[in-house]
Amino acid sequence: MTENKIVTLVGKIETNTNSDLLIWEATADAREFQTTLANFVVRIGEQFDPEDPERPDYVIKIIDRDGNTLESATNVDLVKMEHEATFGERHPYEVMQSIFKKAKRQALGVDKVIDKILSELQ
Amino acid sequence: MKIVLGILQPLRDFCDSWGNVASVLGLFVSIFGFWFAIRGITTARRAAQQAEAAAKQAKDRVLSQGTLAHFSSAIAVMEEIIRLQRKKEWGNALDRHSELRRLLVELKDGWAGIAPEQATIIQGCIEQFKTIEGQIEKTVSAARPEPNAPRMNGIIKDQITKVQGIAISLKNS
Repeated sequence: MTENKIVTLVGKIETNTNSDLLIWEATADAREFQTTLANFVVRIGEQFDPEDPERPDYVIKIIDRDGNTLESATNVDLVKMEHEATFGERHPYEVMQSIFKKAKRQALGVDKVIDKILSELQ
Repeated sequence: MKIVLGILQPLRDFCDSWGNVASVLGLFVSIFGFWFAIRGITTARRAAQQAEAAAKQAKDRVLSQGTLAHFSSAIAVMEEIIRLQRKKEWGNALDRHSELRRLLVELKDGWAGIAPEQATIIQGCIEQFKTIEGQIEKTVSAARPEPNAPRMNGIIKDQITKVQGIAISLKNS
């Protein structure tokens, strides 16, 4: 049951990230980004995978107001968690990578930079 | 006996003719008395409530001033951390990080007027500082390459803005 909820939650985080409803911020770790959501702190990070150095794993953590990590799931965990709730045709890795990339772009203001360059070029 | 009845007769006549009037007047007096008693109780209760509200307001004001002072301390420590990290004084910066964490946890958990969403923002700051502290700790204890001070300071400046935002909203509330 909880596993289905986590899959659903990750899906919602992706949707809200894509629609800029979640404000991601950079952290001191260049491979980790953070946001706050419904009185919780959510972090997404990239982890080096020694078995596949070219393809890092992604981990999402939910931290409560007391600083306790309530849940931590990687893309590998999400594959095992997909039962009733799924990401449809998409692989969990793709979903997590999408959240991470969008969070990074938003936190570092990449979209704004590109918009500015585009406006300069016009 | 006849003499006594003779004496009491005028009294009986008087009661017969005025008794009902006295009863009605007595009823009115009772109603007025009751109304005055209720009014007195209500006024006393209102006065007690006003006194309690005034005491609570005074207490909140004192607590709020304490909270604002605590926010100022936290911001001052963050600014000091920026300065220490800029000078790469990692050991001293770590000491300040411990102090800052204590201040932020106290603000989040122990001070009046902090809304749940503000507490979450402060927890977000604590998480940011945990990451920074972890990076400095690695440098100090494991002789790893120095962390990226400008990046860390940029993040701390963002946290100062957030904490200041909460302090201002508390001040204006």
